[in-house]
Amino acid sequence: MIASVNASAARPLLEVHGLAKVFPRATRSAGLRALGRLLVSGRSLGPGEGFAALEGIDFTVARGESFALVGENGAGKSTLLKLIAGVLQPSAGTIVRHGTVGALLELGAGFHADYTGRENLKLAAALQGLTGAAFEAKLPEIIAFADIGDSIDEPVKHYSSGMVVRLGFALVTALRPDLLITDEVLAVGDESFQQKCIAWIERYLADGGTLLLVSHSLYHVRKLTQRALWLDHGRMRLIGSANEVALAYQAFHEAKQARAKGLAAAQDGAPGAQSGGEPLTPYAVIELSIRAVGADGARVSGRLWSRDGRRPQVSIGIVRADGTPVYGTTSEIAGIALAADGDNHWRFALTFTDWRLLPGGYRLRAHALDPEGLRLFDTVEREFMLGGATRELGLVRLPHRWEHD
Amino acid sequence: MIPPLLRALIEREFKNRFLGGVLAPVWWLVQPLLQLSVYAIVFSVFLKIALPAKYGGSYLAFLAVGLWPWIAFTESVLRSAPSLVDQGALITKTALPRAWVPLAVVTTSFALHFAALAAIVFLLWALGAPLAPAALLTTLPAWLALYLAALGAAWKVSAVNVLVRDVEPMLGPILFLLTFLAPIQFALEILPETIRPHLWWNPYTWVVERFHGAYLLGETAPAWVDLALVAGGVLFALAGYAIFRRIAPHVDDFL
Repeated sequence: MIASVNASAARPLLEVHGLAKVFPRATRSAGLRALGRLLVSGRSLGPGEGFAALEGIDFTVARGESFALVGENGAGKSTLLKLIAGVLQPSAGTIVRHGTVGALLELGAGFHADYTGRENLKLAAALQGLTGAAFEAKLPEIIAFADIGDSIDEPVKHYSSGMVVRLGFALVTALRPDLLITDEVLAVGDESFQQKCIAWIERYLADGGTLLLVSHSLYHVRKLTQRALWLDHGRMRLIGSANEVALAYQAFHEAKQARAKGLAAAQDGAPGAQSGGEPLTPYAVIELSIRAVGADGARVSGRLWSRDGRRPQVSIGIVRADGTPVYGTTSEIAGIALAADGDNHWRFALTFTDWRLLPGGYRLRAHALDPEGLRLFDTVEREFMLGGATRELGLVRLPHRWEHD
Repeated sequence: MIPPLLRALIEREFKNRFLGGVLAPVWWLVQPLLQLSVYAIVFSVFLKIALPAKYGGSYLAFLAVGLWPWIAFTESVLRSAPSLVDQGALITKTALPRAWVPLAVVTTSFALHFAALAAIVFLLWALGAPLAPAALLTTLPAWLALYLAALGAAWKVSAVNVLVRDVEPMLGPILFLLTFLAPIQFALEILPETIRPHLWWNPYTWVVERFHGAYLLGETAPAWVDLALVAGGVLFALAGYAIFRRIAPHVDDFL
């Protein structure tokens, strides 16, 4: 009870309401027109002009929560982070921040190539409000975290990109803002530095820090955040638990890759089934459904049609949304005869039990086979989503046990 | 008193001036000295511009006290013009107060040129030129007025230049023209009566006359003159800031 009272008393750290951002289209006279409008009306764009990078964004981030933004390139993730960091001005809507915000938008942004690492740290720290004696006190800690040796007194132009990243992240570790905004920073740096960063972020989160993360690594999204927002072409496509959003986003990608590979799914019924005419193939799947999908199984049923009235066989398979086969079997392998269901129609049903599938997007695939089980005729698929909170990787959970003393 | 971040920006601006070149640490003094020599040769040797006797007979001193504040002003404006564009990476990726970028440029220019003029004045004075070093103090209000005016101009041109990049290349010639529309290389008195009054349309004429008066004529201007100058500077700065504030928050899309 007390915890819930406390929780309701706490203000969200970040509130975003009805946020929109419109960018002007780059033409030679765009600047001149914007100048005129800004001086006259204080707006840089006329109605209907420009390109809407974000529209209708609404969410809140509670203190101590971590939140991820996922989406394809160009979906507006970085624009949203810049708006939240106060670097861009929204075209509409409001952003309310209750606390300090530290942004790692592009590591090394604002570093001047001619200055040494140490000099650059000083201005970068000042930009984040860390100055004077407080900065001097933190400097050894920052330099130790960056771990770039004597290069700290070399001009930044002699740094490798990984070293710039180390410097930028090391600075953030010293700042410890209430809200930490990071844009893909975990994707850079070498393996050991990445691990160091992740370890630091986990400690920061454990100590009550709040994280706003943009990442294409769904592994990081699941590992580091509790909630997530999927941005699609500047609009909110899905908001929810990190796991749910990551799964949906992953399924979307797998389906997209499958389409790109030309494995387009015949989604809706057998050929000709809807048009009322006869299927084009001698044997066809005319109904297919999957129900009661869960971690421990699902129920599959459907109907087949055969032109010559002979009893067909059915093949049932599970594939990942990107087309990777997981498992397949046929009624012929199992020695099952399909039940007759009126003229030329045949029914089948099967139940998967304890199927050990890991959460993700999948497709149920059915083929009609000739009575001999030799030739394959029709392909019908149904997409389904398997939820779950596990962070295990892969397609199926292999039974295992850990050995320990 | 100065916010630490602004101080860091100004420090960086100072360092930027002195990066690289061998002469970098003394360039702030050497460059205007060279410029002073060129003007002195062109105007007093080739053009034989006469200096009215009341200014004490040292053309170099006359030129120096009028030219240095003008160099501070023009350099501030010229360097500020591209400052937002140049610092685009910084201002679009951090929440740095944007008005500070031109402010740091102008402050640095004025600090350097104030120091340069002080050095030149003492040098000339030590060499026996007829000028009053005490004017370093009495001209402070005029410096302040000029600083504020430069700030206003810097805010205006830096913001507008992001949207319309043509501003920066236009500024050089315009400021160069203005150099000849104020009594910097010549005394007001040598101009024909018909032209002379029109020079007062150039606000810098008011400032440079204050410098000439203080250094060369031993004038102590009435308080209202300095007050009027500073008030004019404040108006310039406010007008520039008003325009900057309207434009600067929206320039990201054009950087």
